[in-house]
Parts: sequence; C-alpha cells; structure tokens
Amino acid sequence: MNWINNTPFFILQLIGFYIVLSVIIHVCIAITSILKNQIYLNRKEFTDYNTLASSSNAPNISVIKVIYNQENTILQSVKLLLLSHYNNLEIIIINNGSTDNSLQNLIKTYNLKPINVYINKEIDSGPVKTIYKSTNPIYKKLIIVDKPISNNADSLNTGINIASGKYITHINTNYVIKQDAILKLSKPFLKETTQKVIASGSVIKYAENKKSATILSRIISLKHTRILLLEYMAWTKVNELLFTPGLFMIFDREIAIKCKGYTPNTSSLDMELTMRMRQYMEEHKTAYTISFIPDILCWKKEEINFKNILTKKSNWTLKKLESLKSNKKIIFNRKYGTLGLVSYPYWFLFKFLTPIVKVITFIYLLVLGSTKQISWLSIISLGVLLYSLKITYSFIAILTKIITQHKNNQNNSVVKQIVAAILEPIIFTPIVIFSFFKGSLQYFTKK
Amino acid sequence: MLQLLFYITVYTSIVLLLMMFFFSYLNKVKKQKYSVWEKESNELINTFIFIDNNTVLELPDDIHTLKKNPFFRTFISQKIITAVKNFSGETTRNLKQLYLLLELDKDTLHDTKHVLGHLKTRAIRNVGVMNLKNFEEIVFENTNHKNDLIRIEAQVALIRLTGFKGLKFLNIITYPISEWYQIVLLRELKTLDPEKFKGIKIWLKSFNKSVIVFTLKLIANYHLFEFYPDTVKLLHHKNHKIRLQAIRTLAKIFNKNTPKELLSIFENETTENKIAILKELSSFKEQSTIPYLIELLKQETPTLQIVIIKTIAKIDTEGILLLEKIPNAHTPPLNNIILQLKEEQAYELD
Repeated sequence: MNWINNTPFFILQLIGFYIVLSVIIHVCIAITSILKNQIYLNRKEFTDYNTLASSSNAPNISVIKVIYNQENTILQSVKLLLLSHYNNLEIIIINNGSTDNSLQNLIKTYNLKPINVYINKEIDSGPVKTIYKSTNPIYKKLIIVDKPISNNADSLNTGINIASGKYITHINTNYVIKQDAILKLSKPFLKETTQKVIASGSVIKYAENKKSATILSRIISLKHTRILLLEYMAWTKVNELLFTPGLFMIFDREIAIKCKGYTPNTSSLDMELTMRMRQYMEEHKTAYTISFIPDILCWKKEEINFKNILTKKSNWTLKKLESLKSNKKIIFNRKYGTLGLVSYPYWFLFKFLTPIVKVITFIYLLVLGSTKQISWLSIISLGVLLYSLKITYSFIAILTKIITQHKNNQNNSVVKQIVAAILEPIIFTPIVIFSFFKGSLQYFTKK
Repeated sequence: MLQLLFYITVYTSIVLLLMMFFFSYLNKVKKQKYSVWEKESNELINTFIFIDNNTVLELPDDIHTLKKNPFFRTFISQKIITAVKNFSGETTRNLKQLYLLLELDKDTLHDTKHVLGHLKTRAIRNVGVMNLKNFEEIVFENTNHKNDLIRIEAQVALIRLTGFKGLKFLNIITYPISEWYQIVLLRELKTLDPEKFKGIKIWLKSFNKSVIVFTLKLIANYHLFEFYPDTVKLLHHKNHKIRLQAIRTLAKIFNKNTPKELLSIFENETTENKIAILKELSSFKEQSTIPYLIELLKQETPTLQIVIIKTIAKIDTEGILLLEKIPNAHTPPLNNIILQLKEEQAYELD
C-alpha cells in the first residue's frame, strides 16, 4: 500500500497524530470502562434496594414534572410516579399554562383543593397562580402547581423553590421511569463517605419495539451501548463525567440552589446545571463526585426517524455551544483542576471538534488528490482506516455486552448488531456532521 | 505508523467478530445447561424442604456426579442461599444440611481467602446466611477489610452468626460506615430479639466518627434511656453530623430537659441542624419554648423563619394567634407565612 509517508505536509502529519492520539485515548477509556462496569456488575448481586425502600432513613426526594397541554397522558404519568418504589417521595407537577383540560383532569381525579403556600424564593422564578393538594391522604405526596406559561427553566426553578426534598429530579413529559429508578439513583448519595455526591444519573434509552426496529433505531441503540459500556463508566472512575446527554439525573437541592438553579435562555438544562454545580464545588474546594449508574432506568418515548434525529442532534450542538460559551473560563484553567486541564479539553478536542476535523480532513484530502499531490489510493486507504477504527470500537462494545451481560444468545441478534456497526459510519456519521453545522448555524444566527 | 494502525485495526476487527460469535454461542450453551440444572436443583431443594424431622438426610445418587462440577456447585450454592433467605425454621435447618452434604462449606472456606473481591464477598455472605459458626474468626478478620463490600458483608455475617455480640467489630473498625451500610446493619439487627448492649460507652468515644453516629442510631432505635447524659455531651461534639444524630437521638429518649438542651445549642448550629432541632421541638409540644422561638424569628433567614413559625403552630394550635401579635407579623414575609399556616390548619381540620 502506497502510504503518505513521503508527503511533506505538516497538516497531514497533524491529522495522523490526531488519529493515533484519539485511538490511544479511546482504547484506555474503553479498558477502564469495561473494568469498572464489570466491578459494578459483580457488586450488584449484593445490593438489596428494598432495604432502602422500607427504611425511615431514606432521604426525601422531590420529583418535578412540568406539563403543558397533556390532558391525554398526564393522569397515567402521575399514576406511574405514585407507584414508584420509594417512600420519601414528593411529586410536584407544574402546570405551565396549559390551555386544555390537564389541570381539570388532575383536580377531578385526585380531589385537589387550592391551598395558600408561602414560596420561599431561594432562586428566581416567576409567579404562581394556585397550588393544589389532594384532600385524600393517600395522595399527600402530590403537589400540583398552576402557573402562567413561561420557559421550562423557570417552571423547574418554581418546583425547586417549592420542593422540600433534600434531592431533586425532573422528569420530562415523554420519559417513563422504572419503578425502582429513584431508589437506585438515591443510593450513591448515601454510600459515599469521603466526598459529597452532588448528582447521580443513569442513561435514558429510546423505548423501542424490538420486532419493528429499524436500522436507524439499531444504530442509536448501539451508540447507547458504546457510550454506556466504553465511556461513561471510565469518566466516572476519574470523577470527570462531562456533558451528559440523555441522562436521567438526581441533584443535591442545596447545591443546585447555591448555583441559582436552572438557567433560562439555555436549552441544555441538566447539562448546564451540572457544569455550574461542578464549578461551584471546584471554586469552594470541596471534594465532590457525580455518580453514574450503568443501568437503564428511564426510557424516552419518541419516534426514531431521520428527521427527529437530525433535529435532536442539531439541538445538541446548539446546547454544547451555549455551554461552551458560558463555561469558557474553565478550559485550560488550573483553578478547576482536572476539570479544566483534562476532561474539558478532552471533550472539546476529541468530542466536540470531531465533525469539524472530519470535514476539514475530507476537503483537504480531496484538494490534495485532485492536485495530484497525493495518490487516490492513499486517500482511500486513510478512509478505510478511519472506517475500520469506528467499526472496531463498536465491535468492542458489542463483545463487552455479550460477555458481561450474558445476552444475545441468538446469533441472529448479534448479526443485526454487527450490521448496525458496519452501517453506522455510512448512515449516522453524515447525520452527525450535517446536524453539527446546522446547530452551529442556528447558534450563530440566533435562530 | 498509520499503516501499522490499519493492519492492527483490520486484524482486531476479525478477531472481535469471531469472539462475538464464540461467546454468543457459549452463552447459548450455558443457558441450556443452566435450565437443566435449574430443574434438578429445584427438585433437590424441594425434597429437602419437605423432609420431616425424623428422616435421615442424604443426597440422591444422581447428584453425586454432578456435584463434582465446580460450575454446578456455584449454581446450586446460589439457589440454596436464595431459598434459605425465603424460608425460616426447620426448613432452613434442612437446607443447611443439604449445603453441608454437598460439601459447599469447603468451597466457602476456599473462597473466603479468594483474591477476587466479589467471590470473597459471596463466600462471607454465604457464611452468614448458612450460619456456619466455625467461620466466625475468618468473618471477624474481614470486618475491617479495605474493600467496603467485603467489610459490610463480614459485619452483617458476624451479626447473623453471633447476634448483638457481633457488633464487637465496632471496637476495631477504622473505615467509616456509610449511611447506606448503617441502614443495612440496622435492618439486620431488627431481625434479632433485643438484648443488653455491651460497648455503647466505648463506641460513643470512638475515633471513628461513623461509629459514634451508628451507636447514636442504636440508642434511638432501642430507646436506651440510660445513655441520655452521654448523648447530651455529644450535642457539643465538633463534628456536625454527630451533633445532628445526637439531636435526633435525644428526641427518641427525651425527658423534660430535652427542649432546653436543644435550644441551648441552637444559635451556633448549622442550618441543617437548626431545622432538625425545630422538627424535634415541634414533636415535644413544650409551650415554654414558644417565647424563645418568637425571639428567634427576628434573627433568622426566611427559610428558617418558615420552619420556626410552623414549629410554633405545631406546639400550640393557638400559636398562630401569638404570632399575629408580634410587631412584624403584618409585613412580608411573615404575614404570608402566617396566612399559609392558617390555611394549612384549616385544610387539615377539614
């Protein structure tokens, strides 16, 4: 194979260096993550969550759910929350100016009555119309807040002000959580002795019907498996889990309030709050951790199609850019320890910038090829290398899943996953690149 | 360099592909084998569960070959442990006998010295569940193990083996007991008949702060009134978590002096501890504390003001009338808080 060794171009060497460094880092992260995941699975056998469910020492947790025009689904959602396997739970439903019968349905079903509650506005939040509680004592943990329409962050901040729990979480309208989700996520707060747990999270997965799964949904599922098994666990080991897309999280209310709650005018609510909480802890030199549980505790009900994925991905780019702007002081700042010197730069260079690097490399190689400064065979070879690297990484994730979770007994299922891994760079990478530029354009044009 | 990387990647991909199919096949075989074992071990366990007292317990002939298979031994060991956890009385005696007849205790002994943490933990857990008294020494040695999982399973197993006497590990442990593990230990103690505790005084002076907190929880849970003076002393401990637990414990063993003791430390406490004190005061319903609480309203933050007002209202149903007489009762935020309380009371009366 005629490689590009003799090409004197500095940029090509730089691209080569970037690829090799990226491979080394990813392999190290994957090994750490696999080991940590195995340790988690080994320990799981000895954890009896019912101990906490029945204990009076379990901490109070407030679940906040913001609703808008959900008359068809709200009753079912509240019912599911009330069935959670956790005693010390407070459920706060914020009716964010619904114009349908959402509130009336709740009032009727749960015998709600307005009460006058003094809201201690520890963080900024908009006005509240009425607060309701049920006259039926079995629903005493349910609080319904009716308020004029405002942004999501403001509604959540209202919920935080009203919440009496030591910990808070919010559940989006299209989320379905497992009955023991709160129980499992609350354990890290009680287990840590040397540092403060400021948040704990687990992955949210798309609810999919395996029989009618499309290639796109299989690719998304594979992507989830990959980040879950080969990335997140490694970052939690070094306490550097950053920019956590699709995590269902519980936060320490006190620290969230000290960080002024959710920020209006940003679309990345949890991600932004997590970053500010981390900044706060670093600035106050308090030992802290963000815990991660590699279990699927929450599902997202959403149709997986190209249009939705494109919209989601470009929104995600937008969120990352917003976060980059508001947290720019962290990067390469010694004051923020490993957050500023390792994890943030890693995320920026090897995660955020990847689509740009890919496009620049592609264009650059095309120019070199068409001006005959480099042979087309060399360009194709480089393309094949990048493609096979991506596939290998997915293969490692699939194999890890097979070995550690003893799943996929049917060869049929393994074949489907392998096909998804092979097709991912062809189908999904263009979506990622396109949505990156779409999201960036939205950010810079403020649309 | 990139060429080398290319070849490595291609070969790795091929190897990974082959491994995926191999392990998938292995899982399939394993699953089939386990379903056969499941049936056989269920039959064996059921036979032992329903055997009456006078029958001599012995293993059926067909199990002798199978019991030599180490994977089957691990499998049936787990099944017996699960069964013992779900039954009580004579049944567990028979299952213990089955465990010994299969010589699983030898595996347990071997695994208690295993280098792999989860196997060691499993062995120690099995000792506790199967009540293998001759392992007490080994279990005790592991109660201060550096691995938290081994440590807690050893502590739980020791309690299962020797009852309240098992708490002797509190004398030696240097690692903290997390809140989670304290909950686990208290649940384990709940299953025992209460008896006289030995060592409380020593544990209350432990250098390990979590031991003090845990001991305070024991005093609260078992209403050990004789340790009231020791608990009061801990209200002045420099660690705020110990003070918090001391506040909660005093409320469980309270006497007429308790409200005074709690109010004496109020001023210099953390917000969390102040809220805990107010919560306990509201349960004592001691009217003499109301003037002090009204005085506090002038100094505290809105967050605490709400709690103070609620405390006053809970101590005395007429407390709201008293509140309305204080000078700033008609200005925000006090007027709003009082209004809320009035509605809450009316709401509760409904």
